[in-house]
Amino acid sequence: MNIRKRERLAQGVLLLLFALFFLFPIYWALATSFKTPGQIIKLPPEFWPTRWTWDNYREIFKENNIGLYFRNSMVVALATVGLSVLIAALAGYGFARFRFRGRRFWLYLILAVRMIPGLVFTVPYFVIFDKLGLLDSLTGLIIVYTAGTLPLAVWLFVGFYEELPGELYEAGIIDGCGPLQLFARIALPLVAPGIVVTAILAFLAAYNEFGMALILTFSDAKKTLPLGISGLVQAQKDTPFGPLAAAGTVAMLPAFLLSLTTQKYIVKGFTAGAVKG
Amino acid sequence: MGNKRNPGLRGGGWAPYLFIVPAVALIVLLGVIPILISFVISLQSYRLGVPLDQIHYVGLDNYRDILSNRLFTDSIGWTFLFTAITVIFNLVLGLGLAMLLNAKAMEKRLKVFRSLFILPLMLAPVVTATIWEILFAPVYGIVNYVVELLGFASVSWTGESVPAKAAISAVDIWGATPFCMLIFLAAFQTVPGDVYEAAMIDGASRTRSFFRITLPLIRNFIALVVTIRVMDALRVFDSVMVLTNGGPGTATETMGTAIYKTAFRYGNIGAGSAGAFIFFALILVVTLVFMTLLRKQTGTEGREAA
Repeated sequence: MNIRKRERLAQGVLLLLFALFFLFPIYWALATSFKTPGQIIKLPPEFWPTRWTWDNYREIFKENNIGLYFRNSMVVALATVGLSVLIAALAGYGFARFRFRGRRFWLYLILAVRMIPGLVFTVPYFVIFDKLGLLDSLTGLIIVYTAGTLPLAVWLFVGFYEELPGELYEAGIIDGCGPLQLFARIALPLVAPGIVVTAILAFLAAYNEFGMALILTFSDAKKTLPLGISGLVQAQKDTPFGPLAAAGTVAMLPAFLLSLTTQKYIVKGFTAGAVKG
Repeated sequence: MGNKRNPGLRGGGWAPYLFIVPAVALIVLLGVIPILISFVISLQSYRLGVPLDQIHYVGLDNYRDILSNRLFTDSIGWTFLFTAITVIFNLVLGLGLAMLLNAKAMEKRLKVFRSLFILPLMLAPVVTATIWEILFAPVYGIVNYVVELLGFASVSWTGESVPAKAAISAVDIWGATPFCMLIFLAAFQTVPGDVYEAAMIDGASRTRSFFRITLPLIRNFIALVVTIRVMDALRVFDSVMVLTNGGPGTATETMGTAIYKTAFRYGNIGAGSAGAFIFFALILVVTLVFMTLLRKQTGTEGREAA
């Protein structure tokens, strides 16, 4: 009995330490975002703000265009999700259902492209987009992010479709379905959980991306959140911690929402994503 | 890719191509062709602001250029050290956290804790770096508050070389450990419980059964985590740009930031492209070395365990 109690205690202490390292920073950013400049530089720090203010949020929305950056980020991320899921859902079906010439070649080519660091693509994208007039446009970012999220999405979808038993298609053919109907009416609805998984991964990848956006966009009107926030850091000599914390909190909202509502899919996605990679 | 449930259809005529054409076209247009263009550019005197008609073939000059560029060569050592530090911490902390959440007593609360602990994984590296910038603030930062509380002098976390390196590593450890935790949680699911019962009967201690039973059984997952994390850590870019911008001086400059600055800040697109290829080759070699080393230890069953 005694041993069990000590074990419980040890577990509790360890959990507390882990929480301190992994969760306190997020709480601290949240708390800081609601503090006045005076409260932020108070020593000892206010662990629970004695006063809550929206000033930092007012400032970043009025003076720093965070609303616009947030909108840009959402537009880019949602468009990426739509395109990437649609194209990968089609391709995954093609690869999983059929055996055709060049199947392995294309499948592994897609995988190989995924292994190449994004940095290698920055120069050619910059040069090509410059010629096509796609520099400094959200469209350009959407194209790049769709291509970037596609390899993993295709591989995930291949796995999802392969889980489906072959008899399903036979039944569909007896019912008079053509190839497109087999896909849209029978296979696609059955991989719906896979669609959610892929969509979340693509959303996070696009919403969080920084390096490509840094190179391919430059005007304030086309900035996404990561760019806007990094600009906030460099804008002033004295780092504006309150507004910075508020901007960070705004940027974190989708992650909070997703982890509350779709945890199961996120866990599945990251695990499957790692194994397929 | 072999599958018993759905053997796949042969001779689908035009149908399979119809389905894969959009994906394949996009991968070729935005994956394969840009690589070729990038390679050609790496052999040219391409600079920002120089008229296109003055750009010409220069052979391997750009490669010589970037390899004699201190900004780039100095960054290589630090990038590898950074990778070693973060991946070791990722493994230890990720395993520890996964074991803790996997314990019997946690069963009911696993989902709550898991949804909290995966938060860092879902945040943008830029946001992560921003959060830590607040924590590491020079005078009024909470990290320095604790440091002083413990009786030490406060530290300039982004102004001095060693603390800046520690800060950058901490940010990456924080952001990537939850990923390792998730993979290890999945790994523990594959370990049958009766193995431990047998070990208990044989009188094996907890520590002993962890090192003798658990670790060998999940070695494929460990290999997977190490490979993925090494590849990712070598590419570190965002957090460095935000937190230290490579500074102080060039102390925390990584291969990624060095190449970016060469190409886009100093306008030497050709040398940047050459650097990117060297970077790619290094990552490829390291990944292959890790894969063969780890495969040798683990046998060929490799990834199928998952």
